[in-house]
Amino acid sequence: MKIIASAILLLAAAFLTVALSSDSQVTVLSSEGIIIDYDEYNTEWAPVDLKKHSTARDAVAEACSSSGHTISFDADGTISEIDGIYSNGTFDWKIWIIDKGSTEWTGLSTPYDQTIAGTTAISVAYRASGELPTIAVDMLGSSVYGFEQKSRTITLAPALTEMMASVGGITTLVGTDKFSNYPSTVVKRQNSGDIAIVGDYTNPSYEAIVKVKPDIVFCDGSQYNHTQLSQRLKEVDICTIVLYESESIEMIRDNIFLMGTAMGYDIAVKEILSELDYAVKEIESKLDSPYATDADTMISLSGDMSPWVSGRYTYAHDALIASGGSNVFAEMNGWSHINSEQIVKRNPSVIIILTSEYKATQSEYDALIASLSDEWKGTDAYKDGEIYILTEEAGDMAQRPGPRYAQLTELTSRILNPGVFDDFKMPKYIGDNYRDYLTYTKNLGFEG
Amino acid sequence: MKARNILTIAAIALLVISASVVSTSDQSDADSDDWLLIDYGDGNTEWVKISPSGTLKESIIGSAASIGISVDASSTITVDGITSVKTGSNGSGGSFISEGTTGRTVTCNWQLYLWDGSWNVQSSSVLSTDYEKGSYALGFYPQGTAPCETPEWRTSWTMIHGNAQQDGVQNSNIDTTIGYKVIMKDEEKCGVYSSILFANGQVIAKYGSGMGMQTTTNATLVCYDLNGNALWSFTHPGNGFYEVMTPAIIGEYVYLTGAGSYIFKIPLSGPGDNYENVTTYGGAPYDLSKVTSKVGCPPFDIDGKTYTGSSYATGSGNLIYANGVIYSMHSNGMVYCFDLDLNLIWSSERNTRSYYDSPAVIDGYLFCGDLSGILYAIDAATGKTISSSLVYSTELYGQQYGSIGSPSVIRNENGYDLFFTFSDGRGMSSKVGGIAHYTFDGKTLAESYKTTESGKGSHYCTVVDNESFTGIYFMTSVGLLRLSTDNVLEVLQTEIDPIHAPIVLVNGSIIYAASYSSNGYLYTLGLDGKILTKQEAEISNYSMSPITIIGNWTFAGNDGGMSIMYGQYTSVITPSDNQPWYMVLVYAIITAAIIIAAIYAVMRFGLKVEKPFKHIAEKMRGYVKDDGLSHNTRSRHRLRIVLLIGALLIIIMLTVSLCIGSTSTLSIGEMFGALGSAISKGGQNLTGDEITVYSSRLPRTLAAIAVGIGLAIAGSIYQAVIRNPLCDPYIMGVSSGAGTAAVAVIAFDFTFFGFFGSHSLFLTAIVAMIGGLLAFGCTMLIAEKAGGTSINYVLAGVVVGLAFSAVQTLMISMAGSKVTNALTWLFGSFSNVSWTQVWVIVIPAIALSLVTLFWAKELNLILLGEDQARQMGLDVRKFTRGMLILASVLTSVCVAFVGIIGFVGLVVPHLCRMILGGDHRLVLPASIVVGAVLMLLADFASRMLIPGMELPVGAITTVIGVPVFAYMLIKKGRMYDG
Repeated sequence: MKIIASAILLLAAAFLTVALSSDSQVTVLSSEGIIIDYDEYNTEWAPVDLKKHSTARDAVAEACSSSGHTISFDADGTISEIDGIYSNGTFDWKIWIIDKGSTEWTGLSTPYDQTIAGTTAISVAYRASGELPTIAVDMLGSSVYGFEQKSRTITLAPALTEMMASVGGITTLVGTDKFSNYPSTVVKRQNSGDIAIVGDYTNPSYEAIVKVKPDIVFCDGSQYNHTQLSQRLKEVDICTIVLYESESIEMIRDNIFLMGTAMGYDIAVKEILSELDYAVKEIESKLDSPYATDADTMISLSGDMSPWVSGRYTYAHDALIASGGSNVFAEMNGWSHINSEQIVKRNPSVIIILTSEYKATQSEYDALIASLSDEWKGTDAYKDGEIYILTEEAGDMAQRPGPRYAQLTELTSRILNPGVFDDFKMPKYIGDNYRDYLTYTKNLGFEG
Repeated sequence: MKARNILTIAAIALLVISASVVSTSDQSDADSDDWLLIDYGDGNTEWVKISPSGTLKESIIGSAASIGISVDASSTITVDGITSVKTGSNGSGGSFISEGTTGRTVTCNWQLYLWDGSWNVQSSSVLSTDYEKGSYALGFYPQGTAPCETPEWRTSWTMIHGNAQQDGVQNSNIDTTIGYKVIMKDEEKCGVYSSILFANGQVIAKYGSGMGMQTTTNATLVCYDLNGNALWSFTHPGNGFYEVMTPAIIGEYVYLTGAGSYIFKIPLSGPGDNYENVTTYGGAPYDLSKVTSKVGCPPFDIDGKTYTGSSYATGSGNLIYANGVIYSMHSNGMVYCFDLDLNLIWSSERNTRSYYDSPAVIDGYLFCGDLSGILYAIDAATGKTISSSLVYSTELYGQQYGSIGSPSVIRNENGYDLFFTFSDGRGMSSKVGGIAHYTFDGKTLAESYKTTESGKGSHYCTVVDNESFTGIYFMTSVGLLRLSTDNVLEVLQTEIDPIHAPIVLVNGSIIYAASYSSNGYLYTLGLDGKILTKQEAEISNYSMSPITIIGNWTFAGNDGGMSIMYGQYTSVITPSDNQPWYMVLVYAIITAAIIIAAIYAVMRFGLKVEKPFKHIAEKMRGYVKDDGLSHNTRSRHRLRIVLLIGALLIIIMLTVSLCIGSTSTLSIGEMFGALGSAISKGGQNLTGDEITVYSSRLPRTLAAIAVGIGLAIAGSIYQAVIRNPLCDPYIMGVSSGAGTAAVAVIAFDFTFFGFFGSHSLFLTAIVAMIGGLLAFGCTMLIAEKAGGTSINYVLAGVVVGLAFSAVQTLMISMAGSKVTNALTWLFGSFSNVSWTQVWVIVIPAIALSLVTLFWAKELNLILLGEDQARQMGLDVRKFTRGMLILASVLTSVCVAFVGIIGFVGLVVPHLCRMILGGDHRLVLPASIVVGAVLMLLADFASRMLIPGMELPVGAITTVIGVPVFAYMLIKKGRMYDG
C-alpha cells in the first residue's frame, strides 16, 4: 500500500515537473533583416520580413532592393554585383548564415535556394575566399542587429564600460558593476546616483539590474553568472548581449563592434574601430625601423616567484607582438601559472608586470625589485634594470581587455623600443600618469 | 427620449466641458479685446491690445509705439525702419550643384491683415478709415502668405530655435499652480529627433524611421492636437536615425526636410489622402517614384569635391526662414535659398559639408559654419560669401576635422555679435569642444574670444539680453555656462545630468532644459544657474533638439517618440521606498511587543490571571510534557507545536524574503499588491516592483524552501539508515559527483557529449544531477559488492567522494580564469534560480521528501538495529537500498541547481531529534519545517548581509547553524551517550 502511494506521489511529481518546466519562450526583441557586409566591420542592416521569403536568394534580393541597392545574379545563381561592387574571383559576394544556437558562419552554396527558417543571422558578404563575414552574434548566438537605438544600458564588467565609452554610449549607462571606474564620468555619475552599482563583477544582482529598467545589458561571456543571468533577463524582456572572452585584440575589436551595433551606434563604432586601427598601425609603421628591437619579453601579473604570465591567446600577447616584442611564454595557452624554473630557462630581457598592488613610486618599485626571488634576479631583465611595472590606472588599463588595448600597445612599444621612440624616456613604473607617456594614442582616451 | 440617449448626450457634454476646461485655461484670454500682431516674418512676433485712437492708422501706430515699435504707414508700411527686402538678383548660373543666383527674386513687404477667422490682406486705403473694431496684423511676408499666429493662439514655435536669429527665446503664459502631468506619450513609434513645432493649436512632430515602426526606411510627419490626437500624417522615404532635422512652419504650410534630400511643402490643413496637396521643389507635386529614386533633388555629392569630416548623407539641415524665403544648409556642402514654392533663388558653396545645423539670418546677412571648422558670413540676398574665418580644426590621421554649431546673433552698435559652439567635428567620437564669440561689422568676421575649456556643447546657444547681462547661455559637458559679449565666461551649474539638447529661455527669466541622460528629468533653472525644479519627466528623454514650451505645455521629441506634457515642473522628492530594510524588523519587534502586552493585559485584567506568562508556560509544558499523557499523545502534541511554530516561521520568513531585497524594501501591502498583479498578468510584461517580487525574489525563495526541506530530509534518512550521527546528505559521494560534473561544464564547456546546447539554463543543473547520481551509482556498486551493509555504504561513499573530489580539484587547477566561475557554483547560491528552473527543483524535492513520511515507522524499526528490524518483518537490505536511492536522488536534485550547501542536512535532523526524540514520525515532519526555515534565513542573509552582493549560502548556513547546534549539543548532548 505504502509502496503504491509512494509510487503515485513520485509519478505525479515527475509529471507535474515536466509539464511546468517547459523552456519559457523568450520574446524576440529585434527586427528581422539581412546584413550587407562590404568589408570587415563595414556592414549595413537591411530590414526585411523574412517570413515572406522562402529562400535565401529571395530574401537577399528583397533586402537589397528595399534599401536602395542594386543586386544582380548570374545564370548559375552566384551574385555578380551589389551596389556597383562586382564579384571578381578574388573578392566575391556570397550568402552566409548562422543557425539558431550556433555562433559560426556557414557559407551557403549557389543558387542560394536554401530555406532560411531557423537562422539567427543572414549575411551577404564581399570576401576573399577563406574569409568569414563580420561577427554578428553574441556568445549565446543572439543577433546584435535590428535593435532600436538604446537609451538605458548596463555594463557588467569594467572592460565593457570602457567599450561603452568608446562607442559613445556613456550617457546611456544606468548601471555598472562595482569595479567600473573608467572613464571618470562614470565614477562621477555613480557617486551622484545616476548610475547604479548592480553588484560586483563575478556576482551581478538580478534584482538590482531589473530595478533600473535597462533596455539592454552587456554581459561578459567569461563569467558563468553573467551567462546565467543573461537568460533570466531575457525572460523578462530585457535584451542582453553576452560578449566573448577577449583572448585577442581581434576579439576585443569584435566585442566593441557587437556592442556598438547592438546599441544602434553603427557609425560611431566604425569610426572608433578605424581610429584604433589607425593608431596601432602608425605605431607599427614606426617600428619598421633599424632601431627597433625584438626583445624577449615576459608579461606577468605579479612579482611572485611563480607568477601568472601571458601566453598566446591573450590580448596582452597580441599587444606585445604588435610592439615588436617576442613573448618568451608564447607556447603557453592563455594566462598561465608558470613554475619559477621557467623564468630562469626563458631568461627574458624585459619584464613587464601588470598589477594594481603597488603605488607608482620609486620606493614601492624598489621594494618590489628587492623582494624578487633568485630566479627573477637571474634574468637579463633584472641585471639590465629592464623590469617595468604598470600599476594604478595604468595597471587597470593593461588588465582590462577593452579599447585601451591601443594605449597598452603604445606603452609596451615605447618600453621595448627606446631607440625608435626617443621623444621621452620611459620610467620603470607607470601609474595614473600613463597618458603622459603616450602620443599616438593619447587622445584615444574615452573620457566623456 | 430614451434613457440611453440622455446618457450619451450627458457623456458628450461632460467631455466637451472637460476638454474646454483644459483648453481654455491655456489659450489666450477669449475676451472681447482686439489685438494687433506685428509679425517680423522671421519667427519674431509681438502682440499688443489695440488702443483705439481715431483712424486705424493712428490706432496701429499708437498701439505699436506703446511697446516700443515704430510704425510708419502711408501707401507702404514701414516697421522699425524696414519697408521691404528683396532676395535674389539676375541669374548668374546658380543651381543645386553650382554657386550663384538663378534670376528668381522674392520681395517681402509689410502687409496689413484683418482677422475674420483667418488673416485677410487689406489695401492700405483702409488705414485712413476710422478704427472701429477687430484684430489686425502687420506681417512681413511676400504676397500670398499670412502670419500663423492668431488672436486665439498668440504664440507659436515655428523653427528649431524659435527665430532666424536662433536665440531660443520664448514668451509663455505660465500658470505655476498647475501640476505636472503627461498628457500624451507616443513611444510605440520610433524616435522623434527634431524639435516639436507649434502653431495655432497644431503640434507638428517629425518621426525618424526605425525598427520600432516595423517599416523599412520611412520617416513620418504627424500633426497632433493638444490632447495628442493625431490629425493627419505624411510619410516619405527617409534615412532612419539620421532624420534629425526640424521642419519649419511658414504661414499655413509646414516645410519638411527629409534625409532623401527633399524638402516638402505640406498645408497645415493636411497633405490629402493621396498626398495630393504636397509639393516639392519648384512647386512640383509629390511623386513617390521620383522621391524614391531621388530625381530632381540636390545630389549628396557634388562632382570633383573631396570632403572631410564626419557627416551623414542627410540632405538639408534644420530649416530657417526670414524675408519671405527659406534657407537651408545641405550635407553636400551648399547653402540654398528657396522661395516659398521651393524654387531656388541662390546657392552658395562652402569649403565642405555640414549636417543638422542651420544658419542664423539677420538684416540681410546669413551666418553659418561647416565641418572643416570655418565660419561664413554670406549675403542673404545673393548668396555671395562676404567673409569667412577658420575657427577650429584638428588634423587626425590625414583628415581635417572641425565643426561649427548653429550661431546665435545679437545686434550691437557696430554690427553683430555671433556666438556658437564648435568642436573637433568627429561626430559621436568627438573629444574636444568649445565656445566662440565672433564679431561682424558688415565686412569682416573677427574672432573676439574662443576657448575649449567650456567643454563639448549643444549646437545652439540661448541669448539673454537684460540689464545685468548681455550674451549667451549654453549647455556643455561641463554644465550650464554663460559667455557675455565682453567675453566673461562663467560656469553656473555643474551638478546637472548631461544635457545635449539646446536650452530655451522662457519669459526672459527661466531656462528650460531636458536631460540627455535616460533618467528623464526636465529641468528649470534660474539665470543664476540655480536648479529651480527637477521634474521626473515620466518619458524617455533623449534628444539633441530643444524642448518646446507653449503656455503650460511642454513638447518633447526623443528617442522613444514624442510626448506632450502639461503643467509646471516640480522638484522631485526622492522616493521614500528606500527605507532601510532593518526598519521592517523594528516594526515587527514593535508589533510583537504590542501583541505580547495585549495578551498580558487581557489575561491579567480580563481573565484575572495572577501571572499570565507563567500560566501560559505551565499550560504549554503540560501540553507537551504531562506525565499523565501517553507517550504517543505527548509526541503528537509536541509535533503540533513544532509544526505550528515552524509554519508560522516559514510564513514570516517567506514574507520577509519577498518584502526585503538589496534594492528596495516594500511594505507587506505593496508586496502582495505587486505579487497579485504579477500573477494575474501571468508573469508577462511586468513592471518595477512586480519584476522584483515575482521574478527576482519569489523563485529563489521557493527554491530555498524546497532545498532546505530536501537536504534536511535526506540527512535524516542517511542518519537513520546508516545509524551514524555524522552522516550528511553528501556522505554517498553525491556532492562530489555533482560538483565534478558542474565544474566540467563551467570550466571546460562540457555539453554532455553535445546533448545540450552550450550555456543552456539547464545544462549545468542536469549534468550536475547526472554526475551526482553517477557517483551514487559507483558507491552503490562498491557497497553492494562489499556486502551491502550500511557501513559498506559509508565507506564506499567516502572513497567515491574522494575520487570525484580529486578529479574536481585537478579540473579547477586547470580551469585558469574560470576558477571563480567554478567556485561560485561550488559555494552554492540561489541567485541564479529563475522561474524556468524553479519547478524542477521544488516539485521533485518536495515530492521525494513527502514520500519519506510514509516510511517513518520503518525508519524507526531500523534504528533498533538491523536484526531487530528483520525480526519485525522488514526486509532490511531492500528497504535500506530503497531509502538510500531516494535520499541520493533527493540530494542530487537539491545540489543540481543551487550548488553545494553544507550543514543543513547534518544539523537539522539532529536539532529535531534533540527537541522531539528519535521517533521519525516526529523527526521527519519537523525536519521539513526546520530545514525550510533555516534555508530561508540563510538565503535572506546571503543576499542582505552585504547589500548588492551575493554571499555563498553554504557559508551562511554554517554560520547560523553552528551556534544553534553547539547550544543544543551542550543542553542535550547526553542523549548521544550510549
